[in-house]
Amino acid sequence: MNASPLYTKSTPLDTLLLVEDEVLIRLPIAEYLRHCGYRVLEAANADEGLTILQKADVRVDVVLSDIEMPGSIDGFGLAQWVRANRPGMDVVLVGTPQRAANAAAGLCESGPTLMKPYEPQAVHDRIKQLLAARDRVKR
Amino acid sequence: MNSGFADTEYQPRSPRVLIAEDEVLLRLMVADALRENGFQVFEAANLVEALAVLKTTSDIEVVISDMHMQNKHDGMTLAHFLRQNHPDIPVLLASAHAPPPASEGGPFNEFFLKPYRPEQFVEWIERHIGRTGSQSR
Repeated sequence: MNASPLYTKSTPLDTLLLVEDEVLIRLPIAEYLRHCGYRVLEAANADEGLTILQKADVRVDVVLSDIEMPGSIDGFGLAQWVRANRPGMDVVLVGTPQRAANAAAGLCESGPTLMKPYEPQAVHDRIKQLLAARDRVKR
Repeated sequence: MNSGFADTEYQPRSPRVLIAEDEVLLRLMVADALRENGFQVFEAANLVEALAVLKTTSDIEVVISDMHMQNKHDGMTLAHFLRQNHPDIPVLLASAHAPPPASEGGPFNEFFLKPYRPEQFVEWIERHIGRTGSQSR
C-alpha cells in the first residue's frame, strides 16, 4: 500500500492517542481535543492502541487512555508498555467519562491550543447527553 | 467566551463521514486522509460502534465500511441497515475479497477492493456529495 498522510505528514501539532472502548465517549472527546489543536489518533481498545504505538513511523506525544477495556491488555498494561518502551511519552489514565473529560480539558489548557478551550462543564454536559443517547439506543 | 460543543454545532461545518473498519491502521489512514480534505470523520471499530454512531449522530452524509469486520457479513449488515433507515446516505464497502455478484443488487453504491489508496475515498465522496476538493479545507 502506498504511503499515506498519516505516515508522511510532518505536522506541527502534538499527537495524542486516545484509547477508549465506548464510542459515544471516544468521539466527543476526540473532537474536543482536535478543536484544541491536537492531532488525535483514536483506538477502540488497548490492543489497537498498542498496534498504533508499535508502528515506528507514527509519532505519538501523549496517550490518554481508559483503564478498563476488553482485550488482551487494559489501560494499566498499555501504560506499563509505554513506560518500558517509550520513556518520556506522557500517559494519562482515566477511569470514568468525567475524569476523561477533565483530563481532556487539562490537556487543552496545557497543550497546543489553537482556540480557547471549552469549559470542562461543557464537556461533561456533552458526554452526559451522549451517555443518555446511548442508553436510549440500548433499550 | 466559547461556551462549548453547542457553539460548534451552529457553525458551518464539514461534511460528516462515518468509517467502520476494524483494522486500526487502515481506519486511521483513511480517516486522516479525509480530515486532511476537510471532512468531519466519525471512526467506528466495528458494526456495533457504527450503529451507535448512526443512531445518535445527525447528518452523516456518507458511510464507508469494511465488508468483513468481526463477523463476515458486518459490512453488509450495516449497508442493509442504511438502506432501510437512511436510504439517501451513499454507502461504500471495501474488502480484500471479491465483491458480491452485481446480479445480487447489493445495498451499496460502490465497492473498493483492498489494497486501496485513501485518495480514492476522497475522490468518490466528493463526487457523491457534489463537493469540489477545495471546499471546506
